[in-house]
Amino acid sequence: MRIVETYNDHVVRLFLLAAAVWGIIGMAVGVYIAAELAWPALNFGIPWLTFSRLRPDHTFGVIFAFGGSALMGTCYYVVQRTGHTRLALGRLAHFTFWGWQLICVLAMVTMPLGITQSKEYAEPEWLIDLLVAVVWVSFGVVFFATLTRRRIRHIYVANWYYGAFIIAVGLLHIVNNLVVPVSLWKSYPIYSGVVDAMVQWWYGHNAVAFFLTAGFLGMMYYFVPRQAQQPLWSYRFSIVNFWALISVYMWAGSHHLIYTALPDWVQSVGMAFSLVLLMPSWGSAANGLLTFNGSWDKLRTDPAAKFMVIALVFYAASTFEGSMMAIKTVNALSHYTDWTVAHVHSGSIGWVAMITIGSLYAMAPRALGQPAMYSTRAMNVHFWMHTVGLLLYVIAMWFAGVTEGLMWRATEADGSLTHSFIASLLAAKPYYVVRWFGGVLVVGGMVVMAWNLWHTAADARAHLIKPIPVPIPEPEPRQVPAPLPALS
Amino acid sequence: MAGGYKYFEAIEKNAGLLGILTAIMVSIGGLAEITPLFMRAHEVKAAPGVKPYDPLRLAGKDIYVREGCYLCHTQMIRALRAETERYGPFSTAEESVYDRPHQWGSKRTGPDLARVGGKYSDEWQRVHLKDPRAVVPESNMPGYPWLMQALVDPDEITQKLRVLRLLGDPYTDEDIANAAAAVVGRTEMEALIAYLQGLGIANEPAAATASTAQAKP
Amino acid sequence: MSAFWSGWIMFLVVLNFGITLFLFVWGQFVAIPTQPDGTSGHVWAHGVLREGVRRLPLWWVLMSASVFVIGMVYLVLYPGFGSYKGLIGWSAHDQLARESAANQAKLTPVLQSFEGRSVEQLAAMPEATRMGHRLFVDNCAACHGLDGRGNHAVGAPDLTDQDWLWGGSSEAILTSILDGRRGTMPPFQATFSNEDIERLANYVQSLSGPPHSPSRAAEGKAQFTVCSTCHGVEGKGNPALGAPNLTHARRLYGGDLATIEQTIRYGRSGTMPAWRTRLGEGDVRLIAAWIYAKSHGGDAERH
Repeated sequence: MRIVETYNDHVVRLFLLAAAVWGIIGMAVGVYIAAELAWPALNFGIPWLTFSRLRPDHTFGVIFAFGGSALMGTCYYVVQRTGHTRLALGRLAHFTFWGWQLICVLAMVTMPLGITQSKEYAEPEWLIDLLVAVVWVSFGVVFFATLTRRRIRHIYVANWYYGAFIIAVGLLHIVNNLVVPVSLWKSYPIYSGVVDAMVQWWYGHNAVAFFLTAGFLGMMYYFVPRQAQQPLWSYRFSIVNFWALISVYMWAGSHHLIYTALPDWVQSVGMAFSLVLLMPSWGSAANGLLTFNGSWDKLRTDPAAKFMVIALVFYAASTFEGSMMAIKTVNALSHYTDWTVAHVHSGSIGWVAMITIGSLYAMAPRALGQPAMYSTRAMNVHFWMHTVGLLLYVIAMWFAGVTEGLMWRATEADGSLTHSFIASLLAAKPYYVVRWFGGVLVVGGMVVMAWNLWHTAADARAHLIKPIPVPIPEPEPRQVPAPLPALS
Repeated sequence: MAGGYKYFEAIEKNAGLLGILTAIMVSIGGLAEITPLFMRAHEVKAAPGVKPYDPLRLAGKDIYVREGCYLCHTQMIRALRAETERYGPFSTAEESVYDRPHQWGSKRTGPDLARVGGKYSDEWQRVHLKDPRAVVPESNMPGYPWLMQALVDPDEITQKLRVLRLLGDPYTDEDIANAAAAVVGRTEMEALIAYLQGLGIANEPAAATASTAQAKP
Repeated sequence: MSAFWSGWIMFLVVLNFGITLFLFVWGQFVAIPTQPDGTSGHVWAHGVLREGVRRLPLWWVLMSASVFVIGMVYLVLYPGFGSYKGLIGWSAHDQLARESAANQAKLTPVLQSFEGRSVEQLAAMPEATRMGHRLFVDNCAACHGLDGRGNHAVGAPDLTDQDWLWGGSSEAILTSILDGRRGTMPPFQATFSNEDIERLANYVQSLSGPPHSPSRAAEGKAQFTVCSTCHGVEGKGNPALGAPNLTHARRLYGGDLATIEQTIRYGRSGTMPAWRTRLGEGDVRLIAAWIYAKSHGGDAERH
């Protein structure tokens, strides 16, 4: 017999830790800047504490630092389990961890200092962008190298999504960040005006599509059937949704520029494809939710499953909302208002954060050598804090956004505008306070999770964990599967 | 009923093929929407008489970028009636040909600024940027008092003009030679105000500015 | 758009629509080898992960079919398919023109009813002052405040009282808004000693009554001859120059002694921007009407 091969869970645990830390940091920054919108004196005249300097820290912190760490960690975990193989290129995998953390720290420090490209969700300057490109390519190399040494020939659908996430984000990142440097800390993009706007929103929307959707769908496709202890609902859905989703999403970016100086044809094409996007979006949500058919009782006992179910519900809700907001007449009302903020957060706090938290709760005990999380009660507390916070946040911003949109266009019978701009800000202010409180609940829940993870990781901290052996030889391709093991 | 599954099975068993097909599928949308705009970008020209940013306004624009103003203010008046009534004629592609990167924005926590140039006095802008609630008590905009002291870096502005010329903006040798002198000793506040006061004025030819009045109801 | 790029866009739209439509139809009917337990027979992760091969739900099929139809019909009706303009010939700018014209049709009779009326008459018309107030808040309130009471920080005058820098007649108010005003007070730190400035400031305060030292004020009276060129011998100001009336308690830049000393020492420069090109005379007359009504105790506040 051969030497026993084990899973490389060390790098997974590092990403898990990083995700928990960045989650708290990124969301706490969000709560702080939400407070600044309600109580503007909170910047205390300090440049780097000012809303406009800190907002990129919130978006980068939650999308790339928290989301990125969670995605890379779960990706490494999933690709090993679904391929029955140890992660390839272990050192490079560790480099991707430390490289990504360095990028996050550099970005989070430089952006509040005003070192920014001002392209939303791509604010870090060119030096950091170069580093991102290097780490991202390494990530892709580790992932695809692991895939090629898999012992199960058929590649599981979760890996299709992780692969698309890696390829598309690499493409988006490079095209959107083509710049000529002026100095170490300043650059100008090769695009200007309309083209720059189109490239930026092609990037911006697909950062949502591939970072916040495709990557997290990969996570969903592994952890939902795992947690539901059911076969994935339908393989047909997997095939149709995957190819449709990754191609159609790439057209949708221009719906961020409806009624602007962008030519009409691009706006229309973006809108048409945004509607078609509903097909793979709801198909994916259905494929996840229906997988719970037959094990809905888990919702009573398993908080991780609860997080996943609500995540899928919010995925369906926010993708439906997104397609509707891409319709020109709806967009005319919603764009530039807090409705967009509501939409983004129903997607990010609802879908992204909840599927991540659910997956972390499912993965952490296994990666940390425990039968279960340290405290189930804490998981339930987290679930309720998160859900209530999410609802407060999203509902407050819906009200604020619709109010703003309606006030901006309200016209008297005599044809003159009804409201001044400042009146809409005054109308939105109370909602800003509610939104802030919703955010506090969400961050509070994250702290509860961190506490729970800390205790669950007791063995890991004491270096008592035994690596998990890879099941070799390869299972027969048509074997009758072993009975599903108990959750613990 | 329908065949062809074996091709998909083949893709799903071959990591390289899966990766290549994924790369092709994610490229279609961008190829369709971006390449035509990019290849025809030279057709969008600044209006006659409109020059690229002078050094002080360019410095101001980069401060606007640095401070993140675009996160709460748009510079894009959409072609919607209520919007043109409130802010003036809708923004055109020609007006932002020198904007690298564009500053169209995506959120209006504060009002649109595409045509704010000349709306308020320099003094108002100064007081307002330093402490917005000194003039607009209802505002939730942060103050930017540090702009009062900080000076524009004359060395960097020369390099900026060079890079912009490299990218195709029509700066002359003379423009570049005189750039440093134009900003030496000027505060960042002055630069930012110069930029704001040019919005909707300096990027429009004189004729367009005059027609602004006619377009208003 | 050139024929090449138009064809390029059309090709890619058809390609991506076609692939998606093919997947949608094919995915429902394709024969996938299935195990007796209804799964595909693929197994991962220690035998834990399997996948069913179920028919796709009808609600999803219907919903997807309708978004395909809507998307395609949209590209038939509206511009988007390369250089094809769409069956209904819609464009965003046409829509704007139509909506603006429709709105203008409502607005024009109202604006016509305002024509030929004086600002004083407009001030008595609630529909005029309501419009004026909205315009005031969006354009003027940044300096003069939501309620028009002015702001010391930028020397914006109170528009609700009877104290007018440049005259309170309707014509003067109109001129101020249409063409702007520039009020300049020169610095006197070279002319007066610090002590003189302190005396003068006390004298200025004595003209309107806030706390000051009467003895110092009496000493300052002599120096005030310099100031009287603009502010008048009695300090009642001069609307032709925009020199403020100093016998009013409300000061442009704040009424404490230190502020007044600063004004004398360093001078002041206040700018009221011109609004003729930005707003046009019609809108400006409405704003003037609201201000006029407000300053004459009109009932404009409820808007």
